[in-house]
Amino acid sequence: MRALANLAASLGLLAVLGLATALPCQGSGYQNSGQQSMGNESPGPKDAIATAAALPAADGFVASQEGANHAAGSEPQGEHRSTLAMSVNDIFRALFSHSVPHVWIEPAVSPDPKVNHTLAIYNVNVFQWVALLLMVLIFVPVRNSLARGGRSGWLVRVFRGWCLWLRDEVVYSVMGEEEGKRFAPYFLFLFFFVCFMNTVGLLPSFHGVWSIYTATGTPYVTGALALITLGTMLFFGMKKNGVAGFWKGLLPPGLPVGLLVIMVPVELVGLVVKPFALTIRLFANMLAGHLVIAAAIGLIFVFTKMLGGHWLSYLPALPALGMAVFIFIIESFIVLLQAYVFTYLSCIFLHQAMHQEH
Amino acid sequence: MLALLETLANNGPGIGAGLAAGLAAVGAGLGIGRIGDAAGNGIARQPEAADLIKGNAILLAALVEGVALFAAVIGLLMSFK
Repeated sequence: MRALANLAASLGLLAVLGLATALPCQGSGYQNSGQQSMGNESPGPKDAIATAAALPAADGFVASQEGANHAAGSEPQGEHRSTLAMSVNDIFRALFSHSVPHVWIEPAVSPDPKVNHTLAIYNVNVFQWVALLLMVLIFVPVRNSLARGGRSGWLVRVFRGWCLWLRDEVVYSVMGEEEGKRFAPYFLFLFFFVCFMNTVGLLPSFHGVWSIYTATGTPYVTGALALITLGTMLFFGMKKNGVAGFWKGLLPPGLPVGLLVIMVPVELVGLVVKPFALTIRLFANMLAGHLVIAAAIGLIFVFTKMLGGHWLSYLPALPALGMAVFIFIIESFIVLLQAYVFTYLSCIFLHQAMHQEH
Repeated sequence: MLALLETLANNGPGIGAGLAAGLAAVGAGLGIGRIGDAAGNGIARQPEAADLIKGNAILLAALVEGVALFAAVIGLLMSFK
């Protein structure tokens, strides 16, 4: 039974990797539309009087600009531009573009550019691997220590307790111990995978040194994880109740035949909405946190521009920075909370699918 | 009046995005307020259940907040299209 659970967990892992690798490729339309709108952006005033603060052109901005016919392209991309030379729209676009996934490496293995683009490695993929690597580094000692027993280092103790808390308070408290035993490995993996991706995304990027990305800040990754939840709901629901029993169990018993026309679509939509809400909740929370921090930082540049680089523009920078730090502190709580919410709701949905109330 | 309508037509997506974010904030504020109200009442009546109530209240507040963030993200998509 334990081997089966391990197998299920590794299959889940493979599915996550496969889906999350394949999905961002369809995001190219998203980037293209960004290119067009950025290309249409009218150039800011070129006659900058003074450079109060230089806003580094964002990596994502540069990457999505490659090959685009930039209408305002009088200055080379990737150069530092004066804040005064940028419109307010440009400023926020440059800051927000950090949250848009972009290609890091596009291998040239095939003459067909479509194949190359399918194999392209996005920063989304890279930071999933980073999360997986961190999980291996942390949880192999944790597993060994649980098998061995006795006292271990503080980090191992923290994660050991965390795993046990998650097992007892989330999985066992929802599904019961008998059933929870089979699914605990998967939900532990889900929680820590999401949690590590979220947390790694909180590390600040340094322009030109490294760039950090929140892999859960894209609907592709969260969508893949939620699809796995939907898959487990359908598979284990049908395994437990029988194929016909599961679909019949979605409807309340003793329903008049006339109402079927309404109830069947409603219940089907209800089934699909659950993973969809999971997707959007995690993605929107992660994206919104980063955007709010970016907006607070952007206020500094907006005030600099409004005051034309006057020294007084340093004054609003302090409250703006304070607000960014405040949001960051809230956000570092939200990353843990959202990983918990995602796991908890997945657990509840799976339990509901297996034990239908009506 | 005509000038107002013209401004509205020109800034349609921006106004819509602002309305989306603002109305969602109203709804989420009401929701989180009710959760906080109930949690505060519960803790006042039964202080020994405070830990349990607090955990559930935070979870529910996160769920409500998620809905407000849908609207914020949609508003951003509208304003940056």
